Amino acid sequence: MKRVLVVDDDAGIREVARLSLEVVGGWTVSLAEGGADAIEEAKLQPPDVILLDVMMPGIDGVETLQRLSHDPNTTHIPVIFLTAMAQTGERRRLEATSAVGLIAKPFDPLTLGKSIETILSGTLP
Amino acid sequence: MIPATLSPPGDEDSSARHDAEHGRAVAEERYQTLLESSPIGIFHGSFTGELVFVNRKWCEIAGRSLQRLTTPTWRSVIHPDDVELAERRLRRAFETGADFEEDFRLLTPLGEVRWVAVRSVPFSVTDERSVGRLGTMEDVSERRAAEDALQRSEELHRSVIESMTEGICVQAADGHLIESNPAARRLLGTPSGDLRDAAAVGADGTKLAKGQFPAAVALRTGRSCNDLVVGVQDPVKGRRWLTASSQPLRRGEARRPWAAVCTFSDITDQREIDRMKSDFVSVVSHEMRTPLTSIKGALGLVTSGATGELSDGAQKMMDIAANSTDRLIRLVNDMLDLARIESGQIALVRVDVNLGELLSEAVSIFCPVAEGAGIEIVVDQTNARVTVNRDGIIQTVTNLLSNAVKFSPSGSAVALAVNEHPTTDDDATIEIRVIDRGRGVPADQVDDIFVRFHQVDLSDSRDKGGTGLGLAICKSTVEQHGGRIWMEATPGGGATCVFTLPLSQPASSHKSSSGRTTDRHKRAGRS
Repeated sequence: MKRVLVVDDDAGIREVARLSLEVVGGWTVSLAEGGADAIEEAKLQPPDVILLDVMMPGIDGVETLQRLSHDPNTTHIPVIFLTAMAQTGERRRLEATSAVGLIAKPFDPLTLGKSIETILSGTLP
Repeated sequence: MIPATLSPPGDEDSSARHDAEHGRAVAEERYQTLLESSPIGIFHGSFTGELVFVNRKWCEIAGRSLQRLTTPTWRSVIHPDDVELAERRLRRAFETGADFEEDFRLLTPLGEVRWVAVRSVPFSVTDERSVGRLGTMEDVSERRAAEDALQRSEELHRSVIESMTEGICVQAADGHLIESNPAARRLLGTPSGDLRDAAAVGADGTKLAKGQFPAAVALRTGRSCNDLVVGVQDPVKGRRWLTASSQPLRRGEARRPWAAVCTFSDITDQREIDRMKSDFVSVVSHEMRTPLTSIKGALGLVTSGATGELSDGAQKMMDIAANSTDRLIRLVNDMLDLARIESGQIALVRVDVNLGELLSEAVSIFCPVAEGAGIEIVVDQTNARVTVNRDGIIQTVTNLLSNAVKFSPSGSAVALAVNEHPTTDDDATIEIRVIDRGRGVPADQVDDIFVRFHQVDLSDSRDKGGTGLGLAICKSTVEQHGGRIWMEATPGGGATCVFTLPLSQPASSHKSSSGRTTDRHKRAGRS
């Protein structure tokens, strides 16, 4: 079964995403509350994909992505941003990073897994 | 040759005397006639300012009668305010023997003030008493009045321009700066007050090219260029933002402008407030989206049965909650859109596009919804080109179609019509009409309908699923493009929403060479 690491500082969103991906999507889900946790977890048990919130206290999403891609142990893991895309110009800023895709909040819990698969299939060689 | 011996010596003497007397009489008569019929005043003045002689015209100008003027002096006729100066000048002319030429005022016995131009030259004969000055006096009141009026008008206009808080500069067709006001020099931080000297950048921060300055556009196209956002570098305050507009100036019927006037004002503070407002809305929206994500997710999972079977009653309640959540999410999205558009912060990326293709794209996006409602969309063909923000105009068209479809009876059609030659606006405009056969908009609400959260019927937001922001977004987008939007009644019933867009300027149309420019211009014009 494919493994996804969901990173979000909001407990409600983490739980909804977990249920949605496990029950509807058929993924194995691990959770992280912030950037530091996520980097630790990714090194320990590299997932197949990381679903990463952007606005988080401490190390934010963009910074987390940079650290992951500079680490040879995690640089290969595809990262998808999960964003409310509310800030002006945020979309453009995120598109300039090495993330493989964006999923907008609020997402549809019934199609979240599908959305991840669609993005990943588009990035395959 | 006549021999000198023809007359006797005695006779010769008396005849010569007679001739001389006759000659003097004729000269005297001629002199008197000239003096009295002269259209200008003539005088003979003494060193003390007394007037030894004045003619009829002089008296007429001074408003005196010859009889009553027993010992006329300059002092008795000159306006009291001018007496001192005039006498000083006259005295100096006497002393230096120079020609005198001066305008001053007379005051007539009836209290009328007259401007006169006085000229005099030194005059002396052997008789000591006759030494003085001979001169002319003309009534120049009308000329002075016209000059005064012109000067007052000039002063008024100058003081208005000098005291304005908006910067003004006038640029001639050959490019040289004719004029700038203090506000222009202050706003631009340049000694010239010329926008071109201010290292200006566009709204997107890139340096403005020569041809992009408003005055250059007005001179090239012959049309006004409005509300261009320009950034300039102030040596003290740093980056300042201005909004600049330019109007071409024409003389008479001339087709080509001889100059363009460019006005600009500081909108730095306004932009800062807009930015803060936009940031505030962004943050609030973000904060709202986070809990909404959890609510939508949780409700979605529960209603889908992912968490187990629900009773019929619970399912119904959960469905209501899920639908309301979706509505709330749409509202937050629309508010965010509106805040972004209104703040004008996102420098609109505008491209020259074929309007027909753009409309087809919007229709194809919206077609599934229309088909679901059993409504046909009929779209006009056009090859007109417009320079627009693609996403903004597609959103505008789909919003208007959505509105039209919402209020149309099933089985009817909604038309998307294009009028390339509207008569209401200037010739550089194209009109797009979305025509429906629905219940129409009451005449007293056609203006309010573009106000945010306005609904014709208060139950509409519930029944029709709108947020009440769709038309406000359309209005903001259209106005940002320099167009207008309004609502009309469809003849025979229904509502027609009309919006205008400026046609692509021939120069900005990427394909048109300079040779074709006039051609396109004419075709775009009213026939």
